[in-house]
Amino acid sequence: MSPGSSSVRREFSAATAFRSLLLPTAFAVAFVAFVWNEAAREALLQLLFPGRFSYIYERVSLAQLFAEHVALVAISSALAALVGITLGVFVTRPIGRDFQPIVQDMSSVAQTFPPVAVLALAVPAIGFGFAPSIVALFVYSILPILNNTISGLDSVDPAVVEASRGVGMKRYQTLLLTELPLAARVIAAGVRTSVVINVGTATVGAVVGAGGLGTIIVSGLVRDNAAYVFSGAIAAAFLALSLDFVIGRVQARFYDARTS
Amino acid sequence: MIEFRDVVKRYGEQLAVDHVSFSIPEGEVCVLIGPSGCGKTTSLKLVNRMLEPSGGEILLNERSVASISPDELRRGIGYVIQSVGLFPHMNVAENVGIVPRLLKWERARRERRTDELLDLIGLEPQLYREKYPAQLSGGEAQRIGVARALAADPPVLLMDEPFGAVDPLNREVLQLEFAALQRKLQKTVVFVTHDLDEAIRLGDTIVIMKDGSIVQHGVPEDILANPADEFVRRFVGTDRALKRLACFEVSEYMQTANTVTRHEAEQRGREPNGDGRIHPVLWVTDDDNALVGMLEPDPDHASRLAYRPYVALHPEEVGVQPPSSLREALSRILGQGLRAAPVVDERGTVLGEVRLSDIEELNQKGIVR
Ligand SMILES: Nc1ncnc2c1ncn2[C@@H]1O[C@H](COP(=O)(O)OP(=O)(O)OP(=O)(O)O)[C@@H](O)[C@H]1O
Ligand SMILES: [Mg+2]
Repeated sequence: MSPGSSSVRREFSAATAFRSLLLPTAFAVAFVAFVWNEAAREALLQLLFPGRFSYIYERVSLAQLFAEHVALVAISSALAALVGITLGVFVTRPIGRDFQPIVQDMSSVAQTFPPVAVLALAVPAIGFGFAPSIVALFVYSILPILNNTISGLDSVDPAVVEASRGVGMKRYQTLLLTELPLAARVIAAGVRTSVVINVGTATVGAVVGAGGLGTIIVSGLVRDNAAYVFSGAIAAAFLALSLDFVIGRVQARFYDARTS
Repeated sequence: MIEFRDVVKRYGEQLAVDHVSFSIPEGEVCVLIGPSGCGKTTSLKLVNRMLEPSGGEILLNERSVASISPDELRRGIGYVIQSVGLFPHMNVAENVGIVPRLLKWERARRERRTDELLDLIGLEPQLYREKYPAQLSGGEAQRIGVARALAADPPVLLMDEPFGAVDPLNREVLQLEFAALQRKLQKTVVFVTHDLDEAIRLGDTIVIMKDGSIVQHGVPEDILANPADEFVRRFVGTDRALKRLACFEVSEYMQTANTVTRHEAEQRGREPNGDGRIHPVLWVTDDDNALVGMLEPDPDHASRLAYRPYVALHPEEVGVQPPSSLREALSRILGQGLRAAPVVDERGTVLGEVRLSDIEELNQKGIVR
């Protein structure tokens, strides 16, 4: 290798290191400071919104709201992933094939309901608070996961599935050792999309008293306090970006059909 | 032993395998050959129950395969799949170790076995264990496919065009490697191919199929000598006499060679063999018995014992080794314009000779017109 190309290589890896390490670290530090350090947040907000505001939401700490938000997203997304992947597996098996159109239609329809409407329907059934929000978010999150599970499993080369049977794998072993590993990247992409959307959608939970970052945003809108709205929005955006990054990292570890 | 008993396979209306019966003795290679779509792959898949027959049955060591659960059956039968069929998301070690893993071998035993197999197929374990199928050449991938099939040391192998996807040169290398491996391992093998030369080289017996039926079943030299009908005659080609020579080993037709060292030849002058007789070919060696040249009689000379001037030879150009085929011997003889080809070992030592007249005689006896 010529010296020229090796130095290009070094620059390249420095750039990669910056992108893959430095940037996320800086990002995380800013994030932690903003959510958990009230003095730092207040200073920043004063700079951005000079004037007559109350900068710090007095009823609940931003850290508390953030934790609630994470809980909303984590529980509803985990349920959606569990159900979406299971359904996706079921409708791609010989016994479930017939249900594939129905299941896909149902989840598409669920996706077209505005989340607020789902909440409105869930509240009379379950009551106010955390639970109806979980239901609404769950229903709303299934579609991308289900669709990606189906297309991921359908794109597995039938010859590889046949080879699995040929070496003596049982059906469940073929699913676990061949089909899911080969579809994992596409499924993870579905989970990633779903989770990122979910972080945004979860803010509506505040309407029915589920807590989360929606609380401070709604409060800011009601009181015409831009600093509150900004605090909630930024924390939610940080959360969405972080989750996108982390799931992206996991996704990158899975088998990639394009590079082989 | 594998036995097909009146086996039928229908795909809807279409008859893919039509009342097929034949058997393969233990330790033998049976090659299924025939035009595309004649039912070779279908027949093969009936053995490990990738497909179920519409009629008849297949016996494995006198036991109907239908009575064995498919998964259990398949773990006991090595299967090399048309177009390789390696798992793209598993590295070489994981691919080779998959059947042992399904059989719940301990990790250490699995790893030992994997390395052993990589050695067996001539791929350095250190270098190849961690590679993924996408990082292998076609020939390497085919070898790994064979290694995977051998992993749990099954007595039976099913091979569906295992060397179909490599260039002719590499294919020949793979065939020779497989032949050597088979001599050592003595598996019962069903081998599907399109390539008649491959069938002749590897098959103890050959089954020629057409439209789902067997048209001829026999040892290669008989099929080439006596094609059953017009179809087989056309299938094996007009050069079947030549192809048939590939069925015979040089070692079986080797005759004693007359040799003289160069030293002696020079000392004795015009009568170099020194026994008062004249030989069609006199091979000349150096003091270590390695072939260096030859002498041929000179019919125009006044003395009946005279030879033509000495001709230098290179053993690697004219010599054949004992495991080579008569086809190769003939090619050397014709290529060099000789009456016989010297049989040599790796060092060039003369072991004997194969005569053109013997090859001609064999040919006239065997081939029926
Ligand atoms: N799953 C299937 N459904 C319907 N017909 C099939 C199926 N598989 C094979 N066939 C038909 O059965 C016949 C035999 O097919 P098979 O794959 O055994 O041929 P083959 O001898 O292996 O051919 P090739 O040399 O091209 O691999 C063909 O006519 C093929 O079209
Ligand atoms: Mg075939």
